[in-house]
Amino acid sequence: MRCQEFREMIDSYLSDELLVETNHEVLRHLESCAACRNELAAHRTLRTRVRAAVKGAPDAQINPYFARRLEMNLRETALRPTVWTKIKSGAFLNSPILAATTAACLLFGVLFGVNWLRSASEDVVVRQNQTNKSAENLRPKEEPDTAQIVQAAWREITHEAVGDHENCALHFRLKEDPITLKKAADQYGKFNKDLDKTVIESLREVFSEKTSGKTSDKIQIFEAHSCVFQGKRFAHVILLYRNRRISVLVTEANLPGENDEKILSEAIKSVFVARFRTTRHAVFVISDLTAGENVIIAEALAPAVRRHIERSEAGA
Amino acid sequence: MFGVGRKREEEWAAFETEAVPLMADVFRVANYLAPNREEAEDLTQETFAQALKSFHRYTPDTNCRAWLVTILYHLNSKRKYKLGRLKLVEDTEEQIANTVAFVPPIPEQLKDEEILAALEKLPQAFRDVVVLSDVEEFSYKEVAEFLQVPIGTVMSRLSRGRKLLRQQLTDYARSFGIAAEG
Repeated sequence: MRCQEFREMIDSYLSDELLVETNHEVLRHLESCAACRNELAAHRTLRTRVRAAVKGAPDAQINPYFARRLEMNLRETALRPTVWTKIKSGAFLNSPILAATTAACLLFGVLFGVNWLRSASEDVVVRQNQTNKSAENLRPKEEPDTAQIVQAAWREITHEAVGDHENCALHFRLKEDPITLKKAADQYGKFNKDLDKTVIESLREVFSEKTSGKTSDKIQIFEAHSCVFQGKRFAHVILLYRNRRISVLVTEANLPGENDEKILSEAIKSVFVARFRTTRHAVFVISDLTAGENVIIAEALAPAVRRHIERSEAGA
Repeated sequence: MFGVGRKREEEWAAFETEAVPLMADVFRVANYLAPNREEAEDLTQETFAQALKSFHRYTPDTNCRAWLVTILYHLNSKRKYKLGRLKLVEDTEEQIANTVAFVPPIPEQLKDEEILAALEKLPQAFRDVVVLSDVEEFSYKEVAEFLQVPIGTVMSRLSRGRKLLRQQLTDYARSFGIAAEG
């Protein structure tokens, strides 16, 4: 085999697509030709580097929560007996009339049940609201010197937020499975609803001009849900930016002191935390970007998130 | 009655063993095809839903990953067609690649980000084949089926794609004063 012939089939050799006989010829040629060995090594290096770069890019990793949800949905679909399989299996005693009657009864039952459940849950919500209001009335008035109390309250809640960022956004090892923001809006507070949309829209305005065209420079949502860390529930929007995960966390918090417009920044462990508050909520932006970048993100989303929370409170 | 339930359970068990563990691989290809993560997740979801429906057509212990990616490509073409995004590959792209002469080896100091940026700059037709063949390690025949092109086209695009990529990386390294090895 001549060098020119080898160069023509180098790609097929590398992809293991040559016939066994041709492969032997190539190997024989390589034994005696240093130039072709170098050329092959260069091809192989390129392939290894490209493979490692694409497979290792954080952007290319599947979101474990998405994977788990998809698997659960598929399992449910696979194992859910359809009406047709029930008919085929004789569950309806091979009688179409009986089948139709049973289906009608089931439909009626479901509709009645849904109606009943809805009215029952409305009762619970009304009862809960009443309890919350009476609890608010019982809450003692603010102490005149609140600086230390405010600081202690922030410290505790910030610690939980950082823990949630580490255990949820970075390592996916929460004890309790997260639920969707939609579900959380029904159960834990209207502010959860569409929080992800508010966050990403407010950031797109700021980041759209800055993107250099690289995929990793675009800010995008990696995951949005409601999760619990050490008993504290957070609305959690995980963003992906420059191959890093950024957590935006919102939680109900009865912080003492005035509701102000300040955004405070601090370093905790290896991350930066930018935080601000509304009357009844604490909002955190946590990432391992620089402190400045982290604050820019917090500043960009603060007005929209404040409005989002205020509107949801007003509508609650 | 119970026989049907058991059959469904057996089918699911087979799907869970063969297809579900490949979710991350399928997502990676979907993420490469889709313009953003959201659409990549939609595409992955549709692929698995479709695969579950047609799992009876899959021959056990054959290449399940290639089977799933075939479904993925099929669904992606349908989506692109619906959105009017489908573009035909032009010959001019191949002409550009033909002009690539001898290329020195790529320098080792280059970072992954730079390699990804160079890959993104490749014309789509070449990038598809490089990713499917070099990264995902599908055979020429499988790649030809995904892309609905003859095997010869896969071979020529792979060869030209690799050359072009190497050329770009070498140019990039040179512009930053990084020397090529060897």
